[in-house]
Order: sequence, then C-alpha cells, then structure tokens
Amino acid sequence: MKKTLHVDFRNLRKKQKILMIMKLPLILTIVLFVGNVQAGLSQSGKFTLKLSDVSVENVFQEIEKSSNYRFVYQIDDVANLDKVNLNLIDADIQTILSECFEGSELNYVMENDYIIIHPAEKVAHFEEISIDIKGKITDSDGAPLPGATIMEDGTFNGITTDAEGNYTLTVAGSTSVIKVSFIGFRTQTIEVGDKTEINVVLEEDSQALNEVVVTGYQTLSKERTTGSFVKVNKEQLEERMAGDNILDRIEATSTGVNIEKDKDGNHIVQIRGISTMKANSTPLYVVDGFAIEGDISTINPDDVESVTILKDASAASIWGVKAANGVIVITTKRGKLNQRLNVEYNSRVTISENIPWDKMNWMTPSEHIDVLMEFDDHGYNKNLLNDVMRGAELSTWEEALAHRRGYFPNGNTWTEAQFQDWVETARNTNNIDQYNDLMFRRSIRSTYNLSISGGSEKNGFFGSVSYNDNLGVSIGNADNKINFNIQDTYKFNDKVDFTAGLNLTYRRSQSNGLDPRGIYQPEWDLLVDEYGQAIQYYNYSYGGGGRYVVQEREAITGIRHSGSELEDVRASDNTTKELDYRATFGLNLRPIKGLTISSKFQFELGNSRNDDFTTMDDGSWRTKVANYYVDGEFQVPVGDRYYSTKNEKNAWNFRNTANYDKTIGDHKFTVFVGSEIRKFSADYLYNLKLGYDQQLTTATPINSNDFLGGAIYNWKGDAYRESAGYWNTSNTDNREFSFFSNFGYTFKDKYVLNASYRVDQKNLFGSDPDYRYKPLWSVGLGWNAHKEDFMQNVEWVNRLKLRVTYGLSGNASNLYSPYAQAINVQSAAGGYLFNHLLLYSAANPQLRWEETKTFNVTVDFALFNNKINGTIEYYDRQSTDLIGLRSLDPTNGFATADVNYASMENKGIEIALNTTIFRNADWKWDAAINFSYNKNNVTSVDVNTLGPQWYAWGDYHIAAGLPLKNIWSFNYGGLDEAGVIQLNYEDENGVMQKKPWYEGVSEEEELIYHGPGISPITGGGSTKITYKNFDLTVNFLYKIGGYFHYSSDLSDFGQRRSDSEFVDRWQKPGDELTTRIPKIPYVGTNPFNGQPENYWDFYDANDYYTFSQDNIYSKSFFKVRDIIFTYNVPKDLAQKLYLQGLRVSCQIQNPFLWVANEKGMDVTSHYGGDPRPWVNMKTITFGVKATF
Amino acid sequence: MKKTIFILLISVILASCDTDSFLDVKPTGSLIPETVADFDKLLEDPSNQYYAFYNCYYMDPEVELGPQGDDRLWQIKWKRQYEWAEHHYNEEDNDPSWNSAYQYMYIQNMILDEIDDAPLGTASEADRSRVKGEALAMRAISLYLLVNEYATHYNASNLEAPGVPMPLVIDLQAQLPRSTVGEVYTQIEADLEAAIPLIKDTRPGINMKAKFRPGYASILGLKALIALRKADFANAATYADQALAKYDFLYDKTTWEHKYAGDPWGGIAGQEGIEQLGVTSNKEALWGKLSAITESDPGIYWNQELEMLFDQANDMRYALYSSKNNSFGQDISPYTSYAGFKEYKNGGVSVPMLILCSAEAKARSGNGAGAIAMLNVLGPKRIVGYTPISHVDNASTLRLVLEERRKELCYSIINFMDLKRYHSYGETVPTYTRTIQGQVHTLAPGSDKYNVPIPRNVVNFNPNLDL
Repeated sequence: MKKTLHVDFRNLRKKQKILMIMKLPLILTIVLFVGNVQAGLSQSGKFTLKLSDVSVENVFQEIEKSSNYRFVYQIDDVANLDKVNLNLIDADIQTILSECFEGSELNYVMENDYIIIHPAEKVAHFEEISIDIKGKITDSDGAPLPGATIMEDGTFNGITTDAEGNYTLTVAGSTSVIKVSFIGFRTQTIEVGDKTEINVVLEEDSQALNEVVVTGYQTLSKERTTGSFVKVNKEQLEERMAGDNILDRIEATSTGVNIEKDKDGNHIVQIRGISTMKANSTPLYVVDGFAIEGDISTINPDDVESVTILKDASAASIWGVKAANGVIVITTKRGKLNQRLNVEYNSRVTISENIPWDKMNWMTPSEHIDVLMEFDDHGYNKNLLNDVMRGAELSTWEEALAHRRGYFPNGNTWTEAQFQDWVETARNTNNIDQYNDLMFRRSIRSTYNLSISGGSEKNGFFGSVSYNDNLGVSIGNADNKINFNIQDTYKFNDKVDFTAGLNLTYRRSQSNGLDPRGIYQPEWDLLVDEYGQAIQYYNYSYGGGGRYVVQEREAITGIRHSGSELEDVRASDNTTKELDYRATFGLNLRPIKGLTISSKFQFELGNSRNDDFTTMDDGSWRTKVANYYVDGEFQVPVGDRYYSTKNEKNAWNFRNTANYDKTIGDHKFTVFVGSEIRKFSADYLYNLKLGYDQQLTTATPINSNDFLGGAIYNWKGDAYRESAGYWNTSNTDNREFSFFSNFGYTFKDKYVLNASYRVDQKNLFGSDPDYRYKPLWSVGLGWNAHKEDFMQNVEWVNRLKLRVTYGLSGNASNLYSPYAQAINVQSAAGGYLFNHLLLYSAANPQLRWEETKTFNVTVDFALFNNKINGTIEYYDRQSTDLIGLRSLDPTNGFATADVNYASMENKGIEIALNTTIFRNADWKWDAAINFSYNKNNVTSVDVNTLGPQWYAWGDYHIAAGLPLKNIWSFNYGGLDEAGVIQLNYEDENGVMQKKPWYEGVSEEEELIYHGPGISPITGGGSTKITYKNFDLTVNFLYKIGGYFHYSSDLSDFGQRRSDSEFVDRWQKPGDELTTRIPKIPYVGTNPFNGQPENYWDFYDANDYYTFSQDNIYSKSFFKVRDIIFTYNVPKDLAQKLYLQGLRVSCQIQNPFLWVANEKGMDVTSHYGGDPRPWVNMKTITFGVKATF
Repeated sequence: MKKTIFILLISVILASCDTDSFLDVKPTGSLIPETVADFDKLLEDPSNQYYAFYNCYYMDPEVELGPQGDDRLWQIKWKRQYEWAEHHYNEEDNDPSWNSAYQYMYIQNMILDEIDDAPLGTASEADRSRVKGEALAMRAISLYLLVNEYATHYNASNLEAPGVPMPLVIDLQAQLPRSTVGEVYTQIEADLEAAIPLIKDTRPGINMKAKFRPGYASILGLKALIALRKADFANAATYADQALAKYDFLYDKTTWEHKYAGDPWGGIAGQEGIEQLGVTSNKEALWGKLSAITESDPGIYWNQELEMLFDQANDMRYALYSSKNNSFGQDISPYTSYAGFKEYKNGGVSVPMLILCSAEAKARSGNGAGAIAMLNVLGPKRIVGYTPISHVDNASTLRLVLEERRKELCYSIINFMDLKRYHSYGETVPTYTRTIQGQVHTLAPGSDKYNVPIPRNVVNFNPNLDL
C-alpha cells in the first residue's frame, strides 16, 4: 500500500505562532480565565483528556495539538454530532474515537497518522491506487484555501489542503469523482478523468450567507425571521467604488430606502416615509452591533462586509426609541479563523467634467446691461446723487452713470460718447472664462486602501488603512481623510471568545472656494488685467464707501478700501479638522450548550475643530477695520478676525445580553434578554478673536460688551455688530437605560413566532413616569410554505415564505419637557448687553411620546429553479400623538406651543425582483429591480397656524388628507396691459376671473395644489453582464411623482448675473400677449396705468409670479447612476506579477439622465448651500484592486 | 467555575439596572426656572420693552401721508389702522402687541405664584422682595398699556365698560372674558401699591441699564400718568413731581446737529443709539416701552396744522426732523417730510411726559404758575434762544400746556391717546375724516374706533371675548 496521505503542517503552525505573539499584548489586557480544558499526551500514543461539553471537532483539535494525528472528514458529517464529555486517563486513540462516535452513524479508518472519518454504511475498500492527482484550491479571488477537504466520492479516501492550498491525492481511477468542500463555500464535484492536476476555484456560498439576517443584536437564519429587512451584499458594495460614503453605495439598491442629499451635500435617509413632524426622522446606524453617534462617513466603505436595513416594528421594538425611523445595520469585515494571511490593495481616482457653465442659463452681458438701463429708466437711481454725496459704495455701472450725470465732486464728467463707450465695452465683456480659469477646476478624488486579514485557529484579525484625497470643483475646496481600522477576534477556547476593535478617522477639509452660482462680480468687471494682476473695485458689498469719498479715508488709515472677488477668495482661510475614534470590546461566553452570554462595550470620541481666519487681505474685513478708525483710533483692532469652533462628543454603551437556543424535537426556541446603559455627552465651544496674528498667535483684547451691545460706531455712525457673539459654549448630557427581550419559536421549520419587548428610559426633564418610561413591543409570525408537504410537488416554487409583524414603536425628543423651560440668552439693546433667561416653552403636563403602530406583511419567493426570486411587502404605519406646533390663545401666554395632537399614516408597497436572464459557461446576465411606493398622509391636525400664501411660499401646509410635505403655488394669471401681475380666481358663480396681485389670496382654493414634495415612487436596479473575466454593470434609479419649486428673480436690482428668462420680461403694453415674465416695477408711478409702484413690488408683487405654477416642476426622473466595467486579470497572468488576483475597473457616474422638468435640472444634486437643484456632473473613476 | 462566571455575569446585568441615580442627571443647556435668581433673569429680557400702543401709529389723525395716501402703506395692517378699520389683522395673523403683553404677563404670573416659596439660587432675600415688586409693577404697566390700547378710556361714570381679559394665574386653557375698565384699573393700582413697599426707595429710582424694568421713580411716574387718565389732577401733579425729584434728565436738543449737514434723513450726529437701539438707550426714559418707530418708507409728512404750532426755525423738534424731500430724494412740496428717521419713541414713562403731566395737572387744578414753571424747564432744552414764559390766565396756560404736549410728544401715539382722554374729561374733540378711494372714514369723539379691535385670532380661540 502506497502512502498516499502526506501533508506537511509544520510551516503553517509556525506562521500561526508568530501571529499569536503579535496579538499577545491585546490578549493580556483580558484577565479572565476559564479552566475547563486539560489535555495532554502522556506516552506512547496515550491521551489524558478532560473535556466537558465540547464538540467532536474540538476533540480532534485537542488531539491534533498534542500528537501527530491528523483528521480528515466532511464538515457536515461531524458538525451535527452531540457534544461529548470525556474524562480519560492514558486512553488510546481508539477509545477516544469510539466515545466520540458513540451512537452516531460515523466510522473511521486510520492510515498512519491520518484518521479518516466517514459515514458508517460506506464500506471502506482499499485497492491498489491507480492515479495520483494534485492541485490547488483557491477562492474566487485566487486566495488559497488551507484546510479545504478533498474526498474521493463514495470512499473515505481524502486529504486536506496545506497552507498554500495545495493537495495531492491518490484516487482509484479515471472514473473516480472528487468532492472539494470548505466551510462557507459551495462544494464542488469533479470527475477525475485523465487529469492529473485538478485546480479548483471554490465559489463563496453567497446564498448561504444571504440566508442570515443580522439584526445587530442577533444573527438569525432567514427561516426564523418574521420582520422586514433588506440586505445589500458585499459584491454590490464593492463594485460601486466611486462612493466614498457607504450610503452612496447602497443608493437605490433596497426597497423602502430613499436617499437624498440636502443643499449642503449631507445625506438624508428616509426609511418608509416620515412619521414625525418635530422629532428626529433619521434612521439609526448600527455598526458591528452598536448604535453609533459618529458620522456615517467615518466608516470606510471598503471595510464593509454587509449592510442590512431593518424596516418594520420588529426593528424598533428591539432597538428602541431611536429606531422609530428604521435601522441600518453595518457589519464590517473581520478575519476568519484558520485563514491564510490575505493582503489586499485597491486604489482609485475619480475625475469630474468641467462646470457646464452653459447650463447656468444666464443672460448675455449685453442683455444684462439692458436690464440695468431699464432699472435706471424706471427710477431706481433717483437716490444716486444722495448716495454719491454720502459716500455710498457704487457698482461700476453706477459709477458710469454718476460720471455721465456729473455727480462726482472732482468734476470728472463724461460726455455721452464716453458713456456709450463704457456701455459698449461692458456689453462685449464676459469674465466667465477668467472665473473658470482662476476659481474652478475639474474635481479629482483619489483613494488608496490597504487591508490585511488572516487567522490562526485561535485568532482572526482584520486591519486596514485608507487615505482619501479630494480636490473640489471650486479652487479652495479640498478635503482629505485617513482611516485606520483594526478588528480582532480571539478564541480563547470553545466556550470563550473575545473581540476587540479600533477605528480611527481623521479628516481635514478646507472650504474657501466659490459657489459657481454665487459669482458676485458682473460680467464686465474682469478679475485680472492682461498681466494677470487682480483688478481692484470699490465693491458695493464692502460697505467701505465710494471710490471718490474714501480716498481721504484711505489716506488717513493707510488701508485700501478697494478689492476684488479673486483676492477675497484667495484670502479666505477656513479649515475644519475632525478626529473620530471608536473602540469596542466584547466577550462571548457559551457556558452550556445553546446559551451565549455576551458583554460588550463601545466607546466613541469625536473631536472637530474649525478655524476660520478672515485676514486683512479680505476686502470686506479690511474695509470694516478701516471704517471703525475714528478719532485717531482703530476701534476694531487691525489684524485677522479669527473664529474658532470646537466640538467634542463622547459616548459609551455597555450592553449585556443572554441568548438561549434550544431544540426539542420539532420545536426550536430562542430566548434573548439584555440590558444596555448608555451615555452621550457633547461640548461645544465658540470663540471669536479680533486683531489676531497667526505668526505670533496672539489676539488683541477687546471689550466685547461694547461690541455686542452696539456701542462702537464707525465714521458713518453705524454700530458694530457681531451676530454670533464672541464666546459661546454649550453641552449635552444624555443618558439612557434600556431593557429588551426577544422570544422566537419555530415549529418544524415551518411556523415561526417572534416577539420582542423593550423598555427605554431617558434622563429627560421631570420625573413623570409616563414620560420617562415607554414599553415598545412587536409580534411577528412566519410561515415557510415551501416546506409544507403539499408544496413539495409544486416544482416551480423553490421558496415561498410569508412574514407578518405588528408592533408599537415610539419617538421622543430631548427638546420637550412637561415643565416650562428657559434658555440663557445674551441680547443687545440700547448699547447694553443683557444676560437673561428666555422662557421658550410653556409647561405642558400632557406631553407624551409619539407612537407609531406598524403592520407589515412580506412574501418571499423563489421560482423556476431559483431563476427568479424576490420579495413583496406591504406596510401600514399609523402614527399618533405626534408633536406639532399648535396655535393657542395668546391671551394665556403663548401663541403657539408644541403639543401632541397630530396623526399621520404611511402606507406602502415594496417589490424587489432578482433574476438570472441567461447563463452558460462563458456568459451570465443578471438583473435586479426594485420598486417602492410610499403614501404619506396627515390624518388629523386640529389647527393650522399659517395663511394660504405661506403654502405657496414653501411652508408646507400641514392638513388632514395631505402629505406632510406638499407643494402649492399661486394661480398666476399673467400680466395686464400695464404689466401688473394678475391672479386667477373663481368668483361666486364658478367663473374664472382675474384680479390684481395686491388683492392678495385669502382662501386655499385660490391656490393650485400640485402634489407631494417627496416622490412617492422610488426605486432602482442593476443589471450585470459577465463574460469570462469581464463584467459590465449598469445601476439605475428612478423617482416618480413629487414636485419642487425652482425660480430666480431680479430682486438684487440686476446687480448680479440673472436668469435668461428675464430677457422676455414685459416691457410695454402688448407684451402681455406673448410673455408671462413680470416687468421691472417702477419707483414712483407706472406710466401705463398711473398707479403708484415701488421697488417693494419685487418682493410683494413678483412673489406671486416667483411662487406660481410657472415655477413648479415635476421631480420625476430616470437616471443611469453608474456604468461599471470590470476586468479580472486571469490567474496565471496575475501570478506572473506575484499576485493572487488583480482586478481593474472603470466606473462612469451620471452618464444618462431623463427628467420630467423642462429645465433639465437634476433633482438629486445641489451645489454649495444652494437649495435649488443643479447639474449633477459626470465623473469617471479608474480603479485597481490587487490581492497578494 | 462555570457557575461562578455565570452568576457574576447575571449580577453585572442586574447591577446595571439600578439606574435612578444615573438617569436623574438633568440635561444641561436649558433649565426649568425655579429660583429667585432665575426669575430675576427672566425679567431681564430686553424684549420687555415691547410694546406700547403698537397698533395705533397710523390711527393718529396727525399722521399725514400726502396725495398718495394709504397707497404708500405697504403693510395691510397699516392701511387698516389708517382707515380705523373694524379689524386690523387677518384671522391667521398675530397681533404682536397683544401677544407680547400677555406672554410677559404669563411670566409675571408664574413668578408671583412661585416666588414666595422659591429657593434663592444665587439671589438674596432682598432680591426676592425686589423681583416680586418688579413683577407686580410690570404686570401693572402691561395691563395699563393694554386697557388703553384695546378699550375705551377710563371714565368714573362708566367703570363697567368692557376692558381687557386679565389673567392673574397661569392657565393655558383659560377662556377669560373681558374684565371691566374699572376692574382693570383697580388691579393696576393694587399691583402698584403692592409693589411700592417691595422696591427700594433710592435716587435716581430707575433702572439705568434695563430701562424696561421699573425703579421706585418709574412706579411713581406710572402712578402720575394713571392719575392723569383718571382726572385725579392733584395726585397726578404730586406723583409726577415726586418722580421728577428723583430723575429729570433731558437732552439739550438745541446743540444737536445733523450727521450730514442739510440732510435730515441721515440722522442726528452722535445720537445713533436713540435712532437704532430701542428705548433703553434713551436717557429721558424712566420706564421704557416702545410705542413707535418712524420708518423712512412709508415716510410720513408733517400734519400741516401741527407744523404751524412750531417756531420752525428755532424749535429743534421741528428743525431737526423736517425735509422738503422724501427719503428717496424726491421733492414732496407742498408737504414736509417728518424725518424722525428710525427714532424710537417711548410710550412708557419719560421725563418729558412727567413734566407735561405735572404741568397739565397743575394747569387744570388752578396752579397756572406751577404749570408754566414746568414748561420753562422743558423749553430751553428744545428751542434755540428760548424766552421763558409766564402765567397769564388759566385758560391760556392750559392751552399752552396742551400745545406744548402736542409738539413734544408728536408722532409717539401719546397725542392720539390724549384725544381719548380729553373726550373722557368731557372736552370737545374734533371729528376726523380720511377719504380713501372715494370712501370717507370718520373718527368721531368717543367712538369705538379709537379702540384697537381685539385680534380675530384671539376671539376665534375664546368666544367669551366676542362681544
């Protein structure tokens, strides 16, 4: 008999030892000893074993540890064996094994040091071996799989792979079939044929992973859940590499999750609509089992293993009051036990297109000049002489007019020809190219990410470092980020394991750039001259004084009053630095079979600091300092103005849980109880210094009371104000204690019952137990219909599961109290500063928690041999006792108060479908699509506080029967023959009539109701085509329904560049037949009707146009979010580069967009602080990922 | 061993359940006011200076808008004031005057309810007495301003006339009817009497910084104004003189100059405080309550009859605030702009108000010489080259006093309040008319149109007010 089984394990063991030593300091911090294992090899193959309640696999491990014996077995065969108790002294291996296999259907064969375990009915037959095969077992990334099992099918002939994933095996002959298996991977069966080298790539069993639902507290098999959840898998997350925030990567992948961005670029995440008016409406983020206080952007998306979104009452009843708006559970990558060291490097760079200035829709410089001339004709410069005499600042256009009119005291009066020259030059000048060259660029974002992971049989670790560098579209806007992450799992023994993790993120961002839509200087005011020098203007926003008046002031103070936008942008120096830590430590105990006791602790610390310097190079600051030079004294110190803001937040959680699983025949029980104690505190400090010297780091002391109280006057008599104050601090101390429990019961794996109960307590004001104490609960039922006998014959149904939950969740805010509350305020009045209390809320003994009752039903199905699978869900969330602002009789002290009085409902349907359209050896085409419909309705509101015009102005009309966010407009009826804005209304006979704007709107019926402000239908999807090593993925999203308001106006009297729609403005009688764009109002009398008008009409009259149906647009769109192209370099080629795997990819973002609004605006995009939608710029990302 | 660990762990879980002391820590950042020190700081809020007779500015017949009339009034409530309309506010709009007075009354009632038993905090027992006195007096002035803005004038022969609701305890659900004018005055006087012994009698007897809070002299001053309204002239003169004995600062306006020579719209050099910072910066105030701000748009014009009363060249109250142009630089002749640009007027208690109160009370009670003496105190501070006048007879002295009052207090709404008062004395008051878009609006003496209507959003909540 040939010795067929030979594996050298020595190499592997050595490596593990090194890793163990590395981890030792960490382990030493744990002083906890559980001494239930003693094993030793005494002599001549005799063992002394004292093992209680351990798995058979553990027995094998003990034996392997203390002898040369090696076990070969199919995991499935051994995993289901009962745990054993051994108390043997000097026993031989046979005794031990017969104890282990007693009562089981397993048998074993010994071959030298190899012990091969096989099912008993299989007859061991050894014949003369005819074929030697060898090969390597790897995962799909090319990483070797040490410890994988290769068995000759139908025999107990087998072997495990070595540390490099290599094996050799002698099999019976060419008809032999080998089975390759490894935990977490799909088992493969291969006919030997005439091959002598069989390399096998095992595919990760994603199906098996998907079957698990991570609630953050528990990991449940999908079969045993009843709640509503969506899981985003790792592959989807990895593919969308351009997203530096995990939320960008899950966008449009999951039903019921609506992700938008606000005007500052922050993500707004809504799960199944909004169910509150005043309390928090964002979901809870749970990372590795803990709710986090830190920003979600501190999570490196490359470290994320999976994201699970919990949507229904079962989420809220287990996670408590913070989970009323859903939970996003993020699991990060961890090293697995018995895993080879895996090093992965990936980097990518994302480049945007240039700013598409043509989409700004601005009028031409010549059209802009025409507008200014019309303003002049309509009487807007009547005050120009006064302005010149008083030394007001003038724009270059106003200066030209003043020159022409001879207003300047120095007698520099222009002739008409000189004036026309100026106008002609202005009409033909446009500084936008200079802005583009000097202030903007293509944005470039680069990311470098390195991770290592691995594990010995006792220890699994994962570590990563990521660096991210981002240069914004506006020169001066940039940020970079570095993230370190270490996660370690240490298995002390079979009953005890520890986890420890540390995550650190440091970010530095600068925001000194210009908002492309906020460009200040008119087209003809060039930024630089032909030598590239910044051109100086006496800018009317500085408040410094007109060119001719301030020359005298400039001589006195020696400070230049002129400046330019280019200099100002270059002088701005605003930096934010943030440092976030998150550390976790956990202990899991499994003292008896089925019972797991866990104790976990998390600590979070976040620091952020903003330094905002306004230096004397900034025109408006320089001018301000100069203006306060009075009577030979600089009242405002010369030097920088330095705003410094510091935030520190710190939170800890301590949680203890016990989970008990028990199976008795067909009955499976899970009981879970726990408690959590939690503290969150935050400090804020704001400080303003004047006369700051960055070199010396000193500031000039000032009497801040004089400055705040308004007791300092400039040479023109204006008091100095600093709205934000000079020093401010605040802090928060929130404490919570919770108790929670969950009970699960499964009968015959078909019928599932699940119930949760949780009580939250907070340190809110007052001690009214009704307010402090809120029980939340949910009950769920599940039915695995496909397991019923009668379904076994329905072959086209592979899975059919029904899940139903009902439960109560609550929402509360720390802002409210049953007692009257006051805050400390500083107010300036009469040149004094008053430090006083402001009573902002009346006593409200009836204050309660908001309640939401949620019903959810889910059907999961997989059909036609798993070709199509999907989920259909329906939910109904009824929220009552919502806190809302309500009008009260002001005679009793408060005109409004926040009280529990409103109710609201959210109903919706969600459908997700996944299908494999086509598949053969080389080609694979998968598609997934999801659809969510949410109907949000306020169901009862007692009083509405605002008049109808407010609805049109964008304050939502909170009323029964309407969605919470809704869009209304004025019913604009065009212009009359004198250019006066008209409103349509229905008279008492139901006939449409027109009336002038100043008669106003008094009834809701006079407005037009458009619909919800949030799209009720949202969804997305993905399709992926794979050809050999090439992948092509297209991700798309769509929203249907919903409206938004977009308008521009001339209310800055034509100073800045304006929207080209105003070219078509009404100018003379008759224009009303062809245009609805309002005229420029007259200051004085409208010559066409003799009626008085003034510039207030820009605010009063034009509002009826600005907020009319003409400026309401549909939010519907369909958009290809990204196209991703991936090429996996073939293994053999990669190996020539000493790599296990190499992948290159390219992602194009925002390539195609179809919108329902005629302006072509992308409602998913904003720029800077502008709330209006913008163009979402196309970007391209190149990435490479290498595995060593 | 196993059991030990198990028991240890369970006890850790249970130990963390003892959470009362953990949760009893109150969040910081805001507080429940409960100490004397807290109450003191609640009264320190400078918005206590708002408002006096806020809704009456354009009701004043002396407000002149020129040929464009109310077209220039770009707020609907101003138009309604100008035409003495039945309602000033839409049903959904708040009346700031009503709301702020009652909001502060809530705080005053809360303080008065709790202060006797409140812990001191950082305050002293002396503070307890002072804060209580101030709360009483501030409730009194709130009621005084409300009853004169929204109800008919005090008249001893008609004390049953409807006044204003008078919440004296906290109750957000209360639906109080209007108390009678007599009841309101009784309460005002009772509050002031209760306040007097609690406030220290010092000199100057005013709060120099927080002028919206009363000192001893401020309370005496308010008692004088109330006595004048009640036609109790003896007390009016006594209280006014007592208050003035403690504080009698007057600006010398004869030295004032325009910031920009020849341009009244640019304001007064060195007096930016009065123009921009509220009544607390006005040193003539004993108790600051903002009555009116003259806007540049819509700028008002001098009433041509009032204008004639001034020595236009020398009286700085005219010379400093008159312009041939409106604020946009347009010539508006034959009218003259009243360019009291952004000047904050005090409707509470001020030195000029007390001088004129004393003068009027003396003139009406037969002390003509005493009245003239008061005018001779005010005159030199207002008129360049002022020649002291002397008493001739009671009728001419009273006429002089009332004319002086009209000039000194012009466009501060007090003149409008005086029309109500004179009618309650039984004196003849003219009937005023305004023609707006062809429609004639009339303000007859003693008419309900002198009283600001109770805002509709209040009546909607409280049908007991719907009379």
